[in-house]
Amino acid sequence: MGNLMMSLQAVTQWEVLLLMLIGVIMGIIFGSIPGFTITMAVALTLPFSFGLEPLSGIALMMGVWLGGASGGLISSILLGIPGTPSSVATTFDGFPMAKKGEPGRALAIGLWSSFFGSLIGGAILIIGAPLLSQWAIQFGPWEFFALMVLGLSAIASLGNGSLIKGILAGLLGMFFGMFGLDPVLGTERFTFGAVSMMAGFSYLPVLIGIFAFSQLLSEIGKHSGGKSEVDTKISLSYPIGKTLKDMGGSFVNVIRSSIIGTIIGALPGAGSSIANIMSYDVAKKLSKKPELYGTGTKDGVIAAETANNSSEGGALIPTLALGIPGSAVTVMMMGALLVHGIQPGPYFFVSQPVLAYGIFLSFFISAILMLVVQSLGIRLFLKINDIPMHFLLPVVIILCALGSFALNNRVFDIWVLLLFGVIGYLMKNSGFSLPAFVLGIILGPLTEENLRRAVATSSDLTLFFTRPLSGVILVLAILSILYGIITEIRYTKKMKQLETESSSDL
Amino acid sequence: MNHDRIAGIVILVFCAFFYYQSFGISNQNLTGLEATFFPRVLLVGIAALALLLLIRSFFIKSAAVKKVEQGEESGPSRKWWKVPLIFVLFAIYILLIDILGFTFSSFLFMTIVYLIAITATPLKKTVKKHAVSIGFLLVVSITLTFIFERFLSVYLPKGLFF
Repeated sequence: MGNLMMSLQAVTQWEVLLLMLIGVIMGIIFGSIPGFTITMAVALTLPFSFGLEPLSGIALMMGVWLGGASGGLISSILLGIPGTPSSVATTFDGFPMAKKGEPGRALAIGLWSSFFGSLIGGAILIIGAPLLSQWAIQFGPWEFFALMVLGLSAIASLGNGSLIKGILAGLLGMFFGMFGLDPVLGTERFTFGAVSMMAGFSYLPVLIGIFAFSQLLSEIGKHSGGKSEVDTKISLSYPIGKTLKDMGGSFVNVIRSSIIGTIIGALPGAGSSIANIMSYDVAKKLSKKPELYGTGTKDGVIAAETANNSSEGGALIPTLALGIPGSAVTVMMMGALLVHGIQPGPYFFVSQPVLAYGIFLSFFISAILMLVVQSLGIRLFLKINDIPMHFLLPVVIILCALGSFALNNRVFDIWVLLLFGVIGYLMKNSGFSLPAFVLGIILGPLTEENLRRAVATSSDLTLFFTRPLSGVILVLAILSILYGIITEIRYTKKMKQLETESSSDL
Repeated sequence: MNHDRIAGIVILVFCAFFYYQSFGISNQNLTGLEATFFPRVLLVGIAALALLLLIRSFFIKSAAVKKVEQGEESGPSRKWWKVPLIFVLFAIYILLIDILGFTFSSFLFMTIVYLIAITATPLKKTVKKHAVSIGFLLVVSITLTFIFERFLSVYLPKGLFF
């Protein structure tokens, strides 16, 4: 209780609240621009957090994340273009609803759904993460190795429709994590005699290069923004009382979609985009009037938006409790924690309880700020869509360079940014999964370290399977790989089916 | 040649190069597994999958090839050179940071990228509008320098000018 109060005191300082507010605004801005992603927003905001206290920095990142998660709904509802991949299903009913002359109602329902989704996902995070870490605290190197394999199993779900390319991207990422001094004996590997290479590639320029720099260049020639078919001169405001009545009428849908979102978010490799689609699909199947889905029903918007926001809370459970991020954005969040000297994992809750509670609290406060900022600034955020790409592109590239430089105050890291920007661009254009690559970079060195520690302790390799916890986790990893393959196939099919149904209904 | 075939070949060459390089790593077998063990296992796995990708590329047509055959895409875009050009310009920018300083080299780079990006759009702008836009980029580079140096204690390279 004392730790909780200390965290509350730290998080409610006006500087921290201001940082969260800035983060939420930045997240919503990035989420509103089609082509820009939440991951990109987190990557670009990270350098601004270097000079801050760890909790302040993480609070800023949390604001960006939650703001970004809800930012996609504006362009989804008013333009029919998903601002982020996690708001694809929001367009199915949000856009028709807006076209029918109810843009204010659609936005209000989407916004409050995001808010309730965040609250429920956050509540499950608070209960689930410490429990999971208590269980994991008895782990030895065998269990940690198995855990890393479980984390890497997410690669099977991140393949963009090609399992071979997904695994290849993951293994390549793991290999790039091998550069520098080896984690057990400190032997130099692939440094080519350069002192700058001793510590390997820093996470930050790699992450910015892969997620921001390479993706930005894909946007050359594209126009940000789009013409709205919705009459935005109609009032975009909608009374809170009526919105809450709408939400109350779909109470079961809110709870069910939030739980689905949280569970999917917690699974390795299944992020908010899958949660958004799956939850919509379940809501449609269980509805008494499934024929209304795709024509502008509030339940479609509720299912899609609660799930994608609650999945963020779910995704933080394995990231904080076990140190295994399962999606691109949690990889970025874990990178943010590592940059601030925080090692997520089973010991995190024991060694830094104030910080852990601070992260939970900043999650909730960011959700509240997101609701307030979105409610007040919807028209303004819609205007951001009109900023031309030829302005955004050079400014954001320079932000990438600045972010990379600021980490260690050395130009070498900007070269790393360029290298991984080129690699990311080539991989993206050849259909390789960038999240799988980055997951490999983060988890590769940890996997090697635990494998070598385990073998150094005992040369008996059967221990990986005969130690009960290690064996169970490895079985879970195999099941996760199978689940990932099946889900990937189903998700791709479902996306095509829902998009066809939605366009034929319009 | 389709993307998968090129990717397969490039990755195989990559694996061969780094496998050869791994012989330069000094091995001290104190912990059971040597420092070369894990990288080599990874390289073998990567090479095996790259080979599979390469073989598959001869039997399965990639989506891009299918699109071209179905007439959905009429070959490579005329704007394809812009991205490699920006990568080259970015490398020059990195080299110039220490000479011209962060603020000035960033302004130069942003201006060039802006001009490249705007030619990719159908927009027509007057000289006056271009001047305003470039002025805006100058303000951005000065503001970023100010924020990072003043508030975030990041000391940016000064170079000859700033």
